Order: sequence, then structure tokens, then C-alpha cells
Amino acid sequence: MKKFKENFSERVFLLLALSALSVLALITVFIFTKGIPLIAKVGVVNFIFGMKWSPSQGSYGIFPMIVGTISVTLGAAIIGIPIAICCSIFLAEFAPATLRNIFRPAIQLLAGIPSVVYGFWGVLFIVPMIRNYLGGPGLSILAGSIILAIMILPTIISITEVTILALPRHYKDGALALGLTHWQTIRHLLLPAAKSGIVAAIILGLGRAVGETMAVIMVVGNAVALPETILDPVRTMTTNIGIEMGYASGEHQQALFATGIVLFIIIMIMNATAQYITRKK
Amino acid sequence: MDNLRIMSEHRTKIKTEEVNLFYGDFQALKNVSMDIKECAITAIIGPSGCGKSSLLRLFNRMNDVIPGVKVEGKILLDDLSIYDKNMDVVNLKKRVGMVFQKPNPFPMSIYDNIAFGPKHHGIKQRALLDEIVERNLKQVALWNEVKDKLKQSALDLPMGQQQLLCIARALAVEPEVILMDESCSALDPESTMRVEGLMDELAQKYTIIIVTHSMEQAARASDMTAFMMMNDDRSGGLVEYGPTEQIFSTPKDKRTEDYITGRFG
Repeated sequence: MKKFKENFSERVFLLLALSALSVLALITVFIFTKGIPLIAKVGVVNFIFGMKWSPSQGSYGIFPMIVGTISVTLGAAIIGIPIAICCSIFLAEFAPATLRNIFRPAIQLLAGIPSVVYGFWGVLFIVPMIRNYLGGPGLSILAGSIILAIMILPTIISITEVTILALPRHYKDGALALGLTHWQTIRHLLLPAAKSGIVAAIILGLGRAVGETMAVIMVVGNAVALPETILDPVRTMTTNIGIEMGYASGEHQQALFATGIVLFIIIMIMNATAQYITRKK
Repeated sequence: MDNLRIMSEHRTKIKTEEVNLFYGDFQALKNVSMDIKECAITAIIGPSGCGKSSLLRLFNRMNDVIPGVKVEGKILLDDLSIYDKNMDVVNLKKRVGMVFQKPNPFPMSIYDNIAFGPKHHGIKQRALLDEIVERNLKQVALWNEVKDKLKQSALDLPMGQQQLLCIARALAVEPEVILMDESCSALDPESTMRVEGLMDELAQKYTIIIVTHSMEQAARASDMTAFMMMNDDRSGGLVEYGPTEQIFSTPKDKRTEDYITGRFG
């Protein structure tokens, strides 16, 4: 009887674990079956490099949105990565315990703020600032980049900090004993030694930026056009799906799923790269 | 080994005068005064917790990173006060190198490990660095074993060779004093013999101070021996210091005799 109970509970756990996995499989299959027919009809090249998105006329080119996603993500990287890396170095190497105990939970809290709140804050604060001081409509690549830069901080900071703290203490002793200053030790020994973890952290953070939807919809303006400056509005792939899903049907709906496929592949590649890099070390 | 004459014939390289060391409220060292002789091997022995490593780490200010550390008394390197406010700590660490208990090569190539120190002290020319790497690897008798794999990771070397590499790395910044903190305790007997043989050679040019748990090592490898013990208030103190021969044959203090004859510790 006891053995039966053991076996039974084991099976239940396995089943539940499988159900989580099967959801992933289901979503993947669903997106692909819904989206592939349209890509097949339009052609991969026309779909990805097409400049015109006009579902009512049957044109489905998502190139402006790919540019939108890349530009907003790149902007977030340029603003966010230096802040995140500096912050994690500070936490891991310089901060006294009391300060660290305030900083760490505060940064975790950043991850807990709902994205719609970031978007709301962006619309009310960042967008008018850009409009007033830099010109343009305010709803722009820059606004999206700033919001995303803040949103990816917790991911990059926490992973980078853990990576630095996980380095053997005797690396640091060795460098200090050779006469390097604390900063030189960090710059020339600890950071290079933590490189793979930091790169993985950055990729995971950017993966989040690529996939973020709500906050981005609210601040980037969503115009389907190739931007000329960072003050121009753009539409990203995620916001395209988010905005049009509500009323799309037929081929239009398929085209949104097809956009989802492209996103899915980009994020899969990013996550796989991050995993590969961390595992290699 | 004619170490009785070192006391009178060698000049003093490092001098401590009534040194007290505190970690916060805890006193780790009390009233330590000793003259460390130049171009000789000085061993610091004593039971665990007697402050051997703390004393050693005073000489290159490795204790500085510990919060709440405070040093009283005088520690002189030649005529320079190590704990002077105006002390150039980077320069001190260049002059006083250190080898640790566990071999700690950096996660980079063998070549880069040796070149790491010199590079940061301003040597940029490739040819000069090549020469420094070769000279120091030869100095620790590791050159023949690694000359064909200088670009390989130092972490792939066996433990004994890693420790020799770490010694070469310390030598590459051209120190005058080398501190070795139980540097053989993680090594097999063969590697230990290799390191000891190397120490003997290096003592021609360098002042070497070792901390060791092994009395045998102190007896066979050192010229001078300092015996330390924990005082009743748990602070560490110097019990007896003198030529190794004398410490091991005719110790003056009863406690030294008890320790070296294995009655405690």
C-alpha cells in the first residue's frame, strides 16, 4: 500500500510537471499552425522585409516593426546596461552591508512593478519631458528605450551581482597582493572572469525588452513607419500584436500570429545563446 | 645550514616593535617585536589561532580590507614605516609579494598570469613581457614544463605547478620580500619538496617569510624560526624567536619546548 502511494504521488508530480511543459508545446504549435500559412502565402522575404503593413489591402510587411523592436531594444541596452553593470559592481564590491540591504530589495521591487504602471509613468512624465525639451511628438523610440532600460535593470543587476559574488575570493586576494588597487582588480580581473555570466545577464535582460508589450504600447506612438531619428514614433512587433489582436480576423489575424513566430524565434535564439554562454564556462 | 650566523651577519629587512593588531574590539596580536633578517627564510610556527597569518599579512597590508582593522606599534620595511599615513600601498605590495595557501592562478593563460602584475605596473612592450615571463618561469623551474603551452589556461595545470606559477607571478613584479602563507599545505609531498628547494634558492636574493603548520618544514627549510602562541585573552603573541637550529635544539622557553616536542598544538 505504501509503495503504491509512493508511486502514485510520483506520477502525479510527473504529470503536473509535464503539463507545464505541454503548455509550451501547445502554444508553440498553435502559433506556428496559425501563422505559417500566411508566411507561406506572402513569402518569408516579403513578410520580413516588406515595408508596407496594410491589412485592409492585404499587404503584410513587418520590416518597420522589426526596425522598431531593434531600435527600442538597442536604446534600452545603451541606456540600461552601463547603469546595471555599475550598480551590480557597486553592490557586489563597494556597498557597505547596510546600504546593500536597502538596495537589493529595492531593485527586486523594480521587477515587481506591473508594466502598465511603467507605461503610465512614461506617458505622464517621460513623454512630455521629451516633447518639451527635445521636440517631436514625445511618443518615441527614446521614450520606449528609457522605460525599457529601467525595466531590464533588475534582471541584469541581480544576475551580474550573483556572478561577481560567486567568483573565488582568492582571485581578488591574488590581485591585491600584486599591488593592484581595488578598482583595477575589479576592472582587469573580476569583470573578465565574470564575463560569461554578465553577457548572459545582458541577453536575458534584452530578451525581456524585446518581449515587453504594455509599457511600450503606451510610450512609443505605434506609427508603422521607418523612424528617422530617435524622437520619431515606432511600432514594435509586440505592440503590433497587442494593438490589433482585438479586432483582427482571417488573414489579418494570421499575420499577427506570423509576427508572433518571428518574435518567438528571436527570443528563443537569445535565451539559447544566454544558456549556451553560461554553460560553456 | 649555518643559520646561527645569520642573526649577526644579515641586516634586518623588516622590524616590528611592540605591534598590536585589532579586528574591531578583538585583539589579534599583542606586543610582537621581532627583526626579520634579509636574504634568509624566516618561519612562523605555532598552534592554530595564534595569529601567525595575521602577523604575516601585516607586512604587505593585506589586512587592510578587513573592516575595523587597527594597527598599533611600528613595522618598518628597511627604514620605511609600513603603516605610515603617507605609505604608498601599491609600492609596498610591489616590494612585498605574497603566495597563498591554496594555489590561486587567475582564470587566464599561463603567460597572462605572469604578465599580469608587470602589465599593471606599467610594462607594455611585448618583448619585455616575453622576457619577464620566461625569466620568472625559469626561476621557479617551471619553464621546461610549460614553455609549449603558455597560451593554455593556468587552471588546467596540476596543483603543484599552479603553486610554482603563483610564486613566479609574485616574483614577476620584482619584490624584495616574499610572504608565503602555508603555501605547501595544499600540495603533495613531491611538490612540497620542489617548493622548499625553490625557497632555498630564492633566499639568496629575497627575504622569505613563511607561515607553516608543519614543524618539520620549519625545521628543515628555515633559517630563523618564530614560535607564537595564543595568550590567555586569546590574542596572539610571540613566545620565542631565534635561529632555527637553536629553537629546535635548545629552546629557551618551556612552552616552545612543549610545542616542538609535540606535547600540545
